[in-house]
Amino acid sequence: MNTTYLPSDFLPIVVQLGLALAFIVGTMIVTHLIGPSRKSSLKDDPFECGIEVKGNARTPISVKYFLVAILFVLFDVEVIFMYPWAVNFRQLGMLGFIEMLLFMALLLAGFYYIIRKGVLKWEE
Amino acid sequence: MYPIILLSVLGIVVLFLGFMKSKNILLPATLLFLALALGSNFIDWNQGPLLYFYGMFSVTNLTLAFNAIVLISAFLIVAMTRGFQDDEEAQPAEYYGIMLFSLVGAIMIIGYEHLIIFFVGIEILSVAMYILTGSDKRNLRSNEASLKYFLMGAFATGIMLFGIALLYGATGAFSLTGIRGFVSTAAGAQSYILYAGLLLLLIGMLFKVSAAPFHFWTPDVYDGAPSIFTTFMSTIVKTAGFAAIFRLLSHSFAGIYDFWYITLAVITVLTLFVGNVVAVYQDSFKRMMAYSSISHAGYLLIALTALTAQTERSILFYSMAYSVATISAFGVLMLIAKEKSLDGRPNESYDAFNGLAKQNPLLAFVLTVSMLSLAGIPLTAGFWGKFFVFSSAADRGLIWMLVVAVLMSAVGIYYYFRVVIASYMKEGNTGKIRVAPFYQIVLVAATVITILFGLAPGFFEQLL
Amino acid sequence: MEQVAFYGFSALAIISALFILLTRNLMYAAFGLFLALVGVAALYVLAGADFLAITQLLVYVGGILVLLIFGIMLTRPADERPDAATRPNRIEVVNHRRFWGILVAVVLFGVFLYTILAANFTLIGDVLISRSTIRTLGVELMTSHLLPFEIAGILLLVALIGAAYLAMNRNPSA
Repeated sequence: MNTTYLPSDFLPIVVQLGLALAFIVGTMIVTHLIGPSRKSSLKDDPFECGIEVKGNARTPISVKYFLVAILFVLFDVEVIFMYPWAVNFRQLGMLGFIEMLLFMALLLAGFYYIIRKGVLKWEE
Repeated sequence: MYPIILLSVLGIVVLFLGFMKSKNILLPATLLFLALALGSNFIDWNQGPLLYFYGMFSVTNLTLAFNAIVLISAFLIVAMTRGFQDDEEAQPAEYYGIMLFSLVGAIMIIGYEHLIIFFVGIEILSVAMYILTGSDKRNLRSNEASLKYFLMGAFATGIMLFGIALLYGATGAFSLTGIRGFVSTAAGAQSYILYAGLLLLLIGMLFKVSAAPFHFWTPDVYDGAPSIFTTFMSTIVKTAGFAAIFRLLSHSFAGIYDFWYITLAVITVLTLFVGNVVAVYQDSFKRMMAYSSISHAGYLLIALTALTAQTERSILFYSMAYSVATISAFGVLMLIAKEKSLDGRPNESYDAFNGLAKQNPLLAFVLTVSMLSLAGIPLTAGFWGKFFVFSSAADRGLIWMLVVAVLMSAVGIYYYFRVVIASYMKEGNTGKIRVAPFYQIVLVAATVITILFGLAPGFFEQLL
Repeated sequence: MEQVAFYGFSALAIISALFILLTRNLMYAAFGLFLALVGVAALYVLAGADFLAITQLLVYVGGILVLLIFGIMLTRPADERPDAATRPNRIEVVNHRRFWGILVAVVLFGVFLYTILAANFTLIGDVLISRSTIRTLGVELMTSHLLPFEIAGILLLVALIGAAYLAMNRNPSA
């Protein structure tokens, strides 16, 4: 594995980002230019299955989504910690493995708690 | 070091004990675990200064003594939590678990040798406090307090982290010894980045111990949180926080005392002034206690500003006296507030104490002793706490600060005595309040400690 | 080349941060935050902190931002007046302490500017030849920084319990 790097090694990512962005912007502009454009009040109406739209689009969603998102962030952070360990897996050996196991045990204790409390039960 | 490991594991155990059908085991189990942690704390006693975990965590007799104060306070507070069993909504397993985890954080910031340890510790302590503040989910004021505390605390954490980053940028070290090494060089004493880092870190820390002008969250949060957790916050967080600030200043920045002492002196005087003067205008006993905790932060800051050889001992003694008196005051408050509840909400005004002494002489006595101790009247531990703090300021020659402090103590006597007068002199019908035996033991123990150390403060010196 | 990238991404971060402050729509502000976070992640890369950049992308862009948008979706707009969408963001306080706020901000900015200008950074002028930080980080995390690493697990556990306890509506033991 190549251990030294320069910021310019990240250039491909930037190029890819630029390409993705250019594709979206390009298609939007091109479709705007080459497509016929007719405007009428009927066509600009928001439309859903032939029924007129009522109320605000921003209705409150259930708190469950939020809870799942919080749990996702927490486990996300825990997983991030595993990355530097995994890169050095061989070098750290058994001791490192046990240390990681301890960390994972804390994680799993939290996970077990969540399951037992029924936080992840969706239909309730 | 041992209590950190033990409390981490036992916190999870308590959490899982909550899955059992019977909740009765939780309280004795938590008390047992706290006692175990306290016992394990003294394994390192008299082993001399030790460094654990690659020099990240230090253990001396004095940090062990701070740990002991924190753990004993937690023990007394947890022993007063019998009320959880009456409450349908309460989830004692979570509360006890979070309390044990928060003690891990407290112990870490008492003995940190490395700023990362300090940061993780104070985050555990703070996050636990945000949760406990909002634990009364049906109460809007508790929700408000929790949100306010969380938002302001998050900003304080950000400021603190920025300070740590600047310190690292200036010194190239996270460890206290490394920073001290840099400060003692000629370049270090002149580094502006170091100054900025120190000030930002201090602002974050002073926020956590609610020193003015970073105190604005304190009254609302202390008032909104359930009383039992207010007790926890005002004793344990404060004790650990001051131990942490002392550690930072004495171990790393004693070399540039001339730089930070003016800032700290201004903050001290402001804290004393705000805490004591605003406390006079409160109608609620609980809110008064919130301002009183600000004023006590001011007294503790005097010791820090002086930074003599005696400072650590005086902070230790003062926080012990303050914690014990606060616990017994809140213990009595919780009983009375529950007895006299209005519309199902605890009544925490001064009026609730009217005529307390007639039917409940013991409670009135406990309350009086704790108020005397908080006010710093002789023959209580609080007097000697103030005495040690003031004498260390006198050693440093901070006479003008002493004048302010003595004046403010006089103001303190006024508002502490209001509740004593209410309970002895005013008419009111408090029925006989039934006190659970456990609860009674806590109150009596706290009172005995206050009087014991008030009569023989030298006893405390011999313990160390 | 690197100079161009640095200034480009700095501009991205600063402009989108300003956009967050000035936009009238909360959802747009969230997307502005997305751009700001990506800009900062790119700056981390340029500073040679690759692990930090990855963390920034995974946790902040991937996690916190989703959380934020869910948070917006959870709440109802405060007032449904038709001009609500056209008003600028305003923090409404009882007393307008704008003067003191601006004073503190300007003074702080001045102090920091002075601090940065007065500091003599020893690394100025050095060419950045950086090793990937991940290997070193992994070894450090597992050896000398073991205690903070394990205790971070406790911190996450506390946060987990707190989130589950505070956000759950029903009585969970039932």
